[in-house]
Amino acid sequence: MSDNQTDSGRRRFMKGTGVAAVSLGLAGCSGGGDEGTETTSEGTTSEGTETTESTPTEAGSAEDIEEGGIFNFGMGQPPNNINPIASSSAYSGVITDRIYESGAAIDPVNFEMHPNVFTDWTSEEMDETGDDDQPNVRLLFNVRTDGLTWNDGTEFTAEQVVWSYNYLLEQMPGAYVASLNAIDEVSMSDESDWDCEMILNSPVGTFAFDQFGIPILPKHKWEGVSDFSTYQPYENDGPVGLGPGVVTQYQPDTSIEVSFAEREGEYNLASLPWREEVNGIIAGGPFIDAMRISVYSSESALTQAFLEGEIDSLYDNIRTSSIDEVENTDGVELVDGFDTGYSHVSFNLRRTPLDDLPFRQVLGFAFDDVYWVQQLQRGYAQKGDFVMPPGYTAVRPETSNNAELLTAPATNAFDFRQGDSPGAVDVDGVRSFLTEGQMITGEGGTYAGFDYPGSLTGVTASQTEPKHEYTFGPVESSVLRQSDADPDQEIRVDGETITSINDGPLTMFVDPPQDSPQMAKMTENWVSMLQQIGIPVEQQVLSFNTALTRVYSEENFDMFEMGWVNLSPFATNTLYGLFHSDNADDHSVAEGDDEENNTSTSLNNPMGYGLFEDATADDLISTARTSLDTEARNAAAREAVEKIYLDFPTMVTMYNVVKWPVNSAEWDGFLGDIPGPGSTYLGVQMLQVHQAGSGSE
Amino acid sequence: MTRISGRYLAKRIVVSYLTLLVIMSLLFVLLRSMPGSFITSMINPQMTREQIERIRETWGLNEPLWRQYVQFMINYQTGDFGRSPTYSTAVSELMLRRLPRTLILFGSTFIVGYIVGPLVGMYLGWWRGSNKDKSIFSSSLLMYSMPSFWIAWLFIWLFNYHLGWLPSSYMFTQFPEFEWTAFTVMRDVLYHLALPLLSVSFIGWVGAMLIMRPSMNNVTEEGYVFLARAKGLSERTVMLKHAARNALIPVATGAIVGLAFIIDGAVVIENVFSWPGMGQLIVNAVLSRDFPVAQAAFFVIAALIVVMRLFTDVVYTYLDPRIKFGEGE
Repeated sequence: MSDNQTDSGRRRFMKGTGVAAVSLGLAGCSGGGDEGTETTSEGTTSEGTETTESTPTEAGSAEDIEEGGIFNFGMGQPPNNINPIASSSAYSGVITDRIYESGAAIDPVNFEMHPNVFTDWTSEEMDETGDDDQPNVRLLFNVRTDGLTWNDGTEFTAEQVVWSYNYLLEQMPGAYVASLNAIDEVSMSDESDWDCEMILNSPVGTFAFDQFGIPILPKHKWEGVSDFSTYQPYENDGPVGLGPGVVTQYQPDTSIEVSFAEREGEYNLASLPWREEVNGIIAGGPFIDAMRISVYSSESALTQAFLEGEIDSLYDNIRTSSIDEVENTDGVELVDGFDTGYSHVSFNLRRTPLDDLPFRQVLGFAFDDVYWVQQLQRGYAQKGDFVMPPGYTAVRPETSNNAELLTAPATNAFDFRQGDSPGAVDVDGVRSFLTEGQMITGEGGTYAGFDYPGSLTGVTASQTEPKHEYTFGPVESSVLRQSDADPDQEIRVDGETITSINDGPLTMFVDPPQDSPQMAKMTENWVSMLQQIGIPVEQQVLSFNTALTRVYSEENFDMFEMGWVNLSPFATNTLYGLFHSDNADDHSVAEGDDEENNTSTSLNNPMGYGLFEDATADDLISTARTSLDTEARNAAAREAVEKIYLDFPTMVTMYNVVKWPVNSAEWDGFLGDIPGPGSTYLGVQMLQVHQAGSGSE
Repeated sequence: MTRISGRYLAKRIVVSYLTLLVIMSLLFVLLRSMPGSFITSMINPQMTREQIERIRETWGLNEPLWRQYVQFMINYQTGDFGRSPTYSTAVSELMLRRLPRTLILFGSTFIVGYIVGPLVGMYLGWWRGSNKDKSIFSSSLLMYSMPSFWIAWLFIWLFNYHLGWLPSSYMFTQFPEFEWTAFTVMRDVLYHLALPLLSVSFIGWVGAMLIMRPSMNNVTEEGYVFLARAKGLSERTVMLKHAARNALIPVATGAIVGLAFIIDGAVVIENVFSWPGMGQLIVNAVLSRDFPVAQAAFFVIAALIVVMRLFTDVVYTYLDPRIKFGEGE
């Protein structure tokens, strides 16, 4: 199958990572591929983002690999359906990604875009402008038709690509709407050197990932489908795609089989020259006869099935509590990988005093990172800082001046301010930070006892001076009077207690402790620290679904904790989706059933970041999004990432250390040290996994 | 002889129908009172207002609330439960696919429970106060207080992980090496059914025993039992033919109502055994905010309870000749 990860990169799904996580509406925000400006010949990769310093596994040679065998895979959720444009579930993607292909492919090592169904392409800005006065962009591309057929044996032509795009433009499926909205038209090209052309209504720096990442549908199957959302491919002798797999068994509630043997000799996209040049990638796959997927009804059943040898691997990663057991089990291994997102606590910038930068930064000073990462996560996590995970180095601010990843002092601006006694915060230091009107704006200095060298990219925070005056006085709020933290003073914002300003203390939404025990403990600790300082905060336990609505639909919250997964390594669309004002509700328009409030649309920037002049990175995000030049785009993205860090609408609490369990006694060829080795880039693994003992590894 | 008047039966049917209408209305109100909408997950921040409106239109949410309500009531009364946004298929199709699986699992445990439970209850009630009664009754109470999912996990550990005798999940072998024939299907289902059946039945019979035991004990004081003994019938005959038959009436009516709770009980057990039935469907629907599916599943449970209650009234008059409904009307 292809390494087309755009599809899975767009899907929303929950992820249990100790904190409940959601990639809500990632359809728009995880896209964003890099392609450079041009790819002129097959095998020549575009200018891409830089990779991490870690070296993925050395690839084996396809010639030495013994083909065959059935790889048994487990999932904790059913796929529900295998319609590639109707389903946004990552679990459906485990199947559909083996069936469908797209124009370009990303490699998970260097995050470069490569030819796939399209052999080469070029882009040029046009004189015409789109609705937003941005210049239109013309993309010209060639389609690979030699040796490529649909998996039902039907011939594949360039005209079908044009038909597929136009069908999608007509249907506008939600999963791809962000990418499709940027396309004005797709047609066969008049120019002799090119097969097809696509007109974009504005520059999209990541078109190879976004627009060329859309799956190509077979005209002979979809032509008569008037409503894509009701189409069931399996009931119509499908699904039919250009990929290496054929679905030979489909019991969505329990079991699915994707056969690769059925396509033996018919699939050549895994043998493209660029694959041989990427470190760790084995070209020429798939080497297995089939992938059998079993659906389990719980995470514990899934883990147990792996430990019992019923399955060879499972979706995503192993739970932290089971890592030791896996490590002590013969014949299995944990493939290391990077997080594709981050866990966070986010703040509602519409509310006082969360609208003020120094106050938000103080919330960071009270979060005990060491307790969180070392004790509660048992070291299987990395301390969080920026809104891009450490695997995506090209768009992290450290890259701007070659600073140490994760440990450079500029990444530790909001570390826990340890007090004199263990488990206590530096109350006096933090109070002084507030009362003296300090804040970390990007300039070097000493803040609440910690030295900060200044920003890595040279950006500064949006806010230049405190919005409120902070003082401390007698404890009045009942939440503090009854607190075990026993604070001696309570904060006043412009002379008033927070409780009187907001008709109650600040509220932190947390998952039920049985769902996220570590986060429950961490929140308890954090709230206690804040109460020591004299900030009235309380926890409110909410089920995940309720919290989703309160936060993302209604924006009715003070603070909440969740997480994102499957973010794009190219940052631009992620930043746009999560931090641009376009995706924040200013509550000026009532929508939906409730005429008073906007409750119908889930927006991915519930914090309201970007809505205010003193908390926005809109300009940098827009620059990054529309830049066709890779380096300029990455530089703008890095600046935006650091500006968001300094503006602190979100406190990134950690990145997972991903441990993907595999049956190493029977299988080989797994690619480690990449983001999401068992989820986002599962497609790459399935193309190169092979029976142990064969190959050169 | 008719022990239930036609008029009374008609009245009960009308009341049951009205109850179902109220339930439908409540479901409509409750699910729309929940924060957000089930189409929230389909709406993407990059969608235009027109695109969002198109989705709302597709799901009928652009209509005024009263019209949505009327349409909902008509649809439900004609068996149209709408379409699932997550499965992209008709809810009724999903339920028809899942319901038989739940009936196989819980129908069999139901049968086992209502055979074993009344038998044990009969003996304990007959010899109430004996050492046998005390020890069996107290140990069965202890079993009854154990959570079903815990028992299930314990049995999985023992019979699957430890002994390796029985499969711990699914209804069929997922990727069989054998051909599917009527025989292999039956054999395979029975093989997979064994462990969940054992787990659920392990405590499932106690409920019926708890009804049968005092009922049996009560009839031992009845005149017809004394008469049977005085006629010189054997103790076994008196117990089985004269006492137990009459004592079974509350157990039988309890069993009918219990049938309605089959889906309700499936929620936990089906998830433990990865049994792809209604219970698992409900859990998935709630977690993925698939309101049409959740709504329909709750309605089916409620409808089963209402129908079974009506059925109980009718059956009761046949089981106990002393009971007559609507005689004076």
